[in-house]
Amino acid sequence: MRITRALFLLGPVLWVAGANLAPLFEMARISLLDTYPAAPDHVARHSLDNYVAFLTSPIYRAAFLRSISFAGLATLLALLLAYPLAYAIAIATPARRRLRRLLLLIAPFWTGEIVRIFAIMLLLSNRGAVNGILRWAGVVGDPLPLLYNPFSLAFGMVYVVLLAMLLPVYAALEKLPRELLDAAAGLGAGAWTRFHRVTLPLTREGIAAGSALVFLISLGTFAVPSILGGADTTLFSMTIGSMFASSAGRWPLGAAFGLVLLASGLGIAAAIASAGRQAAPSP
Amino acid sequence: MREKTGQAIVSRGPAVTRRTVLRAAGGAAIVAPAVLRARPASAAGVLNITAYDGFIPPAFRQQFEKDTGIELRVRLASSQAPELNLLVAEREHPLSDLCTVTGNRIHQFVEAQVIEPLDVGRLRNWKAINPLYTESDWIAVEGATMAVPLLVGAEVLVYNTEKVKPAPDSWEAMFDPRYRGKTAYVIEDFLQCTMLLQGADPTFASYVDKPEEAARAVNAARDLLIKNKSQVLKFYEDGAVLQQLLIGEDVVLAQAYAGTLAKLILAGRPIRLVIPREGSTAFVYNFAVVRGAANRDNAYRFLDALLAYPDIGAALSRSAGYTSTFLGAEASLNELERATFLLTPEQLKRLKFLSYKGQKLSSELIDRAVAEVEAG
Repeated sequence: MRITRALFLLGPVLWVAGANLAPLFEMARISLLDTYPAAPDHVARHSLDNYVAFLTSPIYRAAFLRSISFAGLATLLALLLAYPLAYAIAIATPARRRLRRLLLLIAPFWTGEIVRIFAIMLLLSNRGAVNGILRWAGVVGDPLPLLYNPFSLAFGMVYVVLLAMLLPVYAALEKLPRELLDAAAGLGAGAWTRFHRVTLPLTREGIAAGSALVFLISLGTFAVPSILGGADTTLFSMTIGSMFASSAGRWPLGAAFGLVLLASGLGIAAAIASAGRQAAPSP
Repeated sequence: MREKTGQAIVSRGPAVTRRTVLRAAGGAAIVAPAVLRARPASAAGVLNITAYDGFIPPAFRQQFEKDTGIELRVRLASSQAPELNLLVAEREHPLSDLCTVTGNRIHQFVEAQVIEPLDVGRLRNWKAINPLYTESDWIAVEGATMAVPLLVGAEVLVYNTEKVKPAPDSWEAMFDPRYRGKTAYVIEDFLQCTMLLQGADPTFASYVDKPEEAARAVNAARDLLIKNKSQVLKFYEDGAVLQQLLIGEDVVLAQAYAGTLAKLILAGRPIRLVIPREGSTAFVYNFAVVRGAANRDNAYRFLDALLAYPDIGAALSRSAGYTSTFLGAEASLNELERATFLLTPEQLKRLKFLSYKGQKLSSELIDRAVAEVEAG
């Protein structure tokens, strides 16, 4: 039995160790080097210089704080959009139609992320669909500047991460005991009172799980700011990416910054999840 | 068909016991290196090439494979740094026989011990290349020729002919308030163009012993970019993004590599490019033989075939979008293609070829300046 159990667990353990932990350890190792990749005759020097560079350079901190802010904004906007959608399907839709409606909402997410981001680009550009309709209707003369600014970045981020918020919130809403809502209504509670005294507290865990997930995804997203961002919206993920792609020898700095971002993101996401658990009452 | 009996699960096959599991694990450990090893780089009739998109014209590839029976396995590279990193990682067991290297990076590739000197004597068609490129120091390291020059890439000022009038002839146009929020550039590259505008040396070759002077020049260019940040709509990295910016008319003026735009111009878009009067930076794309290449003979056969006809140079220009280094390649191009791909003698004079001499200093100073412009 023990061998069977060990064999059963071998795959997942190998996967987690090989695909998740090994790259992280390798990045941690590289983050302590002075240069990488190095010439064969180079003698490696280990130090914490790359972490010190983050702490002492206001340039990098600015991009880091911008990333935290945008991830927070994307999380909030995703929640504001996803909650009513999830509510409409889980509470206000007859059970037999729920799955169909949920699938309809999820369908766009079956295409690749890059395809969806370029689709947004085509939608919001000067000659895109939105400006085309506005100009055709005579609402605007010149095209509105909808791309390459904080608006397009936030729009793209929310679009990309919405599913990660929608599903946990939907799951929490679907588990909600309807008898509690009926009882509250029977006791004279109005719609708003039922929502903020019953529904919201009982779905806080779903909200927290979705928020933590969306925050982490938004913090690390690279394609969205690269394609939809503008000159004033450089995020930390792009700074890190440029160290790996545009110049040889700067991997250690990129690795250190990547680990700083990971640690910060996990810390904030854990705090969000913990807040959700503490606040959630038992049904 | 399984049945549970006491301590072990038994099937109709051999019983799974601690001993059989250990045996299987031991066997797997022995076999694993062979299973996990990458597809062998060496095989009869094979040539592994790491190249940029378009650097092997499709018709040439087809003909070469048909004539020689050598199968070309092409791995695409997007830029020099990732390609170098990949080759360094594979240094002990190279998976490529040929790689793409730009003139200003050759020393880095040599220092990293990923390419080997070229045996020019094995290339019968070596003289098909314009001597301007074969006799330059971009492809020579300590007297040894390291690579075959193929294409010349230059930074250009690109503009929408319907929106930008009169046609610009200076990098100054990128700072013209009329085009505020309508320009785009790659920060690293435009910093060097701005240095040219300010009369500095973007190749850094003249600053090798004067790092403070180099830092002053980079800082001046950086400050001008930060001061005029409202001019730029997008710092782009990918040529496909610039193409969309130009097609959507979100941008009407930009700094770009010539190759990025050739397809748009040839497709009839109102887009033209110019090498400004202050000049521009340029570099040569080369093919180099990877150190320890398993299919070295096939690599030389391929290179010689590539140089065999000027038409192939023209085909290279069409597929990659850059100027061919082959003598006589222009004869096969039509008028629009010549205007798009060719560099006139006057334009060539205005180009400053990036050199390995200044590469290290340039990387150190420009990398930091790029981060400052992004955050500024």
